[in-house]
Amino acid sequence: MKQRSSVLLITTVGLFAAMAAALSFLESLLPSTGLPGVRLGLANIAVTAALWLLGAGGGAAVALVKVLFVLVTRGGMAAILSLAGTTAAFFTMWCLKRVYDKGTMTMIGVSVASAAAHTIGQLSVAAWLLSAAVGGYAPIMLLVCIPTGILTGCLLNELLPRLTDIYTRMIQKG
Amino acid sequence: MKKPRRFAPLDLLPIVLTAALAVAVPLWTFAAPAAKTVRVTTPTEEFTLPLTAEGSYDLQGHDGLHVTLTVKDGAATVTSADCPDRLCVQTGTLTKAGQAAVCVPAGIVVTVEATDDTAPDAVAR
Repeated sequence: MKQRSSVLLITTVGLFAAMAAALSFLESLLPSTGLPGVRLGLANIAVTAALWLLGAGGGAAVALVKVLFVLVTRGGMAAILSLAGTTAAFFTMWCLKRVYDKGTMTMIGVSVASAAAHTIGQLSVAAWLLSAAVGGYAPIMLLVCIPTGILTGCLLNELLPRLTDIYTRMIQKG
Repeated sequence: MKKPRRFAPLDLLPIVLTAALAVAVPLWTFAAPAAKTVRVTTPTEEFTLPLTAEGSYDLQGHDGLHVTLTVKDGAATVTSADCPDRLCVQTGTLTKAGQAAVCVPAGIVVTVEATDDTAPDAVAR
């Protein structure tokens, strides 16, 4: 029984990691906005879903695969920035999960906060590695977090209860 | 299945905080004094020019990328760049101390500064 549930955990991590990679790729096909770091953050849906369903360990594993995917497809510098942003966003979501579980916040708030944390983490490391001048990009990047965070938040509001339902049923079946 | 919750009042908190932060950062820049010099950092060199030194400067970056910096009317502008996204060009004209145009692929940073010693160090944001 214990062995079967760890198999379920590993396969679900793999599934979400593949989804994160696929969503990153899908997003790269969208035309560039011409603004720095302005992206929808669709891949974060997979990380968030993994964190919610599988807990901190499973979520971190999916986040790590997402960063490795960036390393392979977009190179070292992009991967370092992605790692910084993902870590900040992950920690923010992990903290806000308690607020979500109490029912006082939905995924809209969680997503906007984690998108903003992603931006701040990324810009802080970019400021440290490249130049403090990248701070000039902060206003536009933060403003964009609001609509993109609301969008992914709406998606997660619909997705999470359904995914949790499926996953609980799979655990019960053993 | 639990009924999906679609919105809670507390969702507004991160939205308002993010917006406030986005507004606070440029206010910082507007309060900055007018720039008097431009500092250029490339992978191979670093130099400072007074904004009275009008002209065009060709800067060489990583991967053979070139960036053109134009100094005119007491302001610095990156007028052209080889890199794919050309964000430094879209940044526009730099006039206030602390403003900057950054070309990440080429590793070139152009910042304008107020050299006046009494001015706040607006670069260290």
